[in-house]
Amino acid sequence: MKMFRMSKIGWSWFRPVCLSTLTGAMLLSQINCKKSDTGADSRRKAPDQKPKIAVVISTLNNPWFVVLAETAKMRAEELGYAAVIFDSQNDTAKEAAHFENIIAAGYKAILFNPTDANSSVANVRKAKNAGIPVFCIDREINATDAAVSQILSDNYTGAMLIGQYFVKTVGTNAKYAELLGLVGDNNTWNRSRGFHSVVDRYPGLKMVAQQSADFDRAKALQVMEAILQAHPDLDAVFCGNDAMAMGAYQALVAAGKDKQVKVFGFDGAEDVIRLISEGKIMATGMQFPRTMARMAAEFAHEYMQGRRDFSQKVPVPVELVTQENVHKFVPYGRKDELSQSASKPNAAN
Amino acid sequence: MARAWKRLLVAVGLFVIVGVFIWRFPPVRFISRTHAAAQAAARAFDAGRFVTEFWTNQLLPACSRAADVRVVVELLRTNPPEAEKKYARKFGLGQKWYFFVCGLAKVVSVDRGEILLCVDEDGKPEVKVECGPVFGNTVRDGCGLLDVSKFPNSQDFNMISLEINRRIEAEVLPRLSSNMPGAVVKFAGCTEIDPSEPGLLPLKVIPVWVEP
Repeated sequence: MKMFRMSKIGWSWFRPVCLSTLTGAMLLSQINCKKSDTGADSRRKAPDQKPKIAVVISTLNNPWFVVLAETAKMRAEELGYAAVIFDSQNDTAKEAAHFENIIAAGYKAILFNPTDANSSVANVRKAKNAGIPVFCIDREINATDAAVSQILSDNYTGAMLIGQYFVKTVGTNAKYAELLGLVGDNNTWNRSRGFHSVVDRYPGLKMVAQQSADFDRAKALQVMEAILQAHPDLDAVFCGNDAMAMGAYQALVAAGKDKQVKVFGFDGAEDVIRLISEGKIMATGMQFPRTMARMAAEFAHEYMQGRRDFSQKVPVPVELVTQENVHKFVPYGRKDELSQSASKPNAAN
Repeated sequence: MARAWKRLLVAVGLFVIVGVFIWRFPPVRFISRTHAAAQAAARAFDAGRFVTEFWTNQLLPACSRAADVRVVVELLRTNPPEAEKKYARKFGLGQKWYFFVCGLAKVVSVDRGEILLCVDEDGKPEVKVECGPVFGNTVRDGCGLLDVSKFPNSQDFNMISLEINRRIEAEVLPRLSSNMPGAVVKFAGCTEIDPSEPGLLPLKVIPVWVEP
């Protein structure tokens, strides 16, 4: 008898049937809840019945995403909408539940920072089928026919710039570690591959450890402690975001190795910009969350005014921040970015 | 008794119908790990194959339509905004200017991993070609032939750059660096300029085609 290892299961018609049943049950339970509920949904209704925009963010447990969310909300409100932030807590199930609620509550648009490039596609399609336009911010989904537009950091090029600076400052003979972000997120791999597109060309640069810390500061602290125990002679660490860079730096300080190991981050977060200016962290890739969030809100507004000719993907450059040029930057952007106000279309009717 | 038989027949009939339905349209399919891996590999984007086709069918034919390097250099000297307006491309919200240029040049020097080219008669180098590893997306974004919106996964789009750069290192740079100073070459390539930086020249070109 031939034995199969059950690694992959094709569900064919069985899954749609199950899903339909479950969705039906969920909708029924929602309707029942609404009849007696005066809670979250009714509280979210703006008193003056302004059209509503949802800002769905992968996690608010990271200051960078808080800036992204707050800026999108603020810009949507400036344009005349009632905006509500939903925190997915890096959980695709929570994200799916938010989309169900948003669709049921009659939101007019979704400004969306996805949790997972593949899993989040279904949510965007669901909103699209319900006639709600979705605008992705910072993170992409692996589909070009679901969201109206995707405003994305050019992570690969940013990490490539960090890779070049890494070679310049660490040298071509060194041992280094890499802390990866969420493995389901394309940004994780675009940053990693951009960095490796440079450092892998130098055989003397040895990567002794590569581990995920989920873009999380506390996890990065733990992972870095373990790496340091196994590789006490480490020369540098490249972290896929600044929260992990801070966690790694904290572990290095605790181990008394903060002068020995050079830390490189990615994002342009407040703590890291301060530590770069103090000469404690080497470099980061500055993303522009305010620019991306404002643009997403303005795209949503323009969509509701009738515009349809959006580029599916709008890459936003990432700039290298080092101890030499950190004076040009503030947390989450350039100094001159704040003074350059984005074009402000008229408010919603 | 006949009624019991009838019920049994109906039950067996139903059982057979359901059995045939499930056999024909199975609710769950078991796929071996090897088969699943093979399916995933077949679906995966093959950047090497993509670039081989792109290089032959799109990039090389487009070289003849690239901007005249001499004209671009002259405009960058005298009127950079006009050079931007007429010949530059931008990538997304980026402020950098990308040019796809071609033309004739005299090799000024070949040393320390760098080739200097002169595109006019003054004998001074206006174009610089670095012979070391090629990094970044200058060719992918500068040639104007590839649209990021056509690629659902940006990782695939980035792998294209990697393959293009490897091909340039393997095929184009050795050919250019084999020329001696004084030689005249025909070339096409892409360049990236940050207009906020002082001094737009010499152009740092990444060549995609060189003759001889």
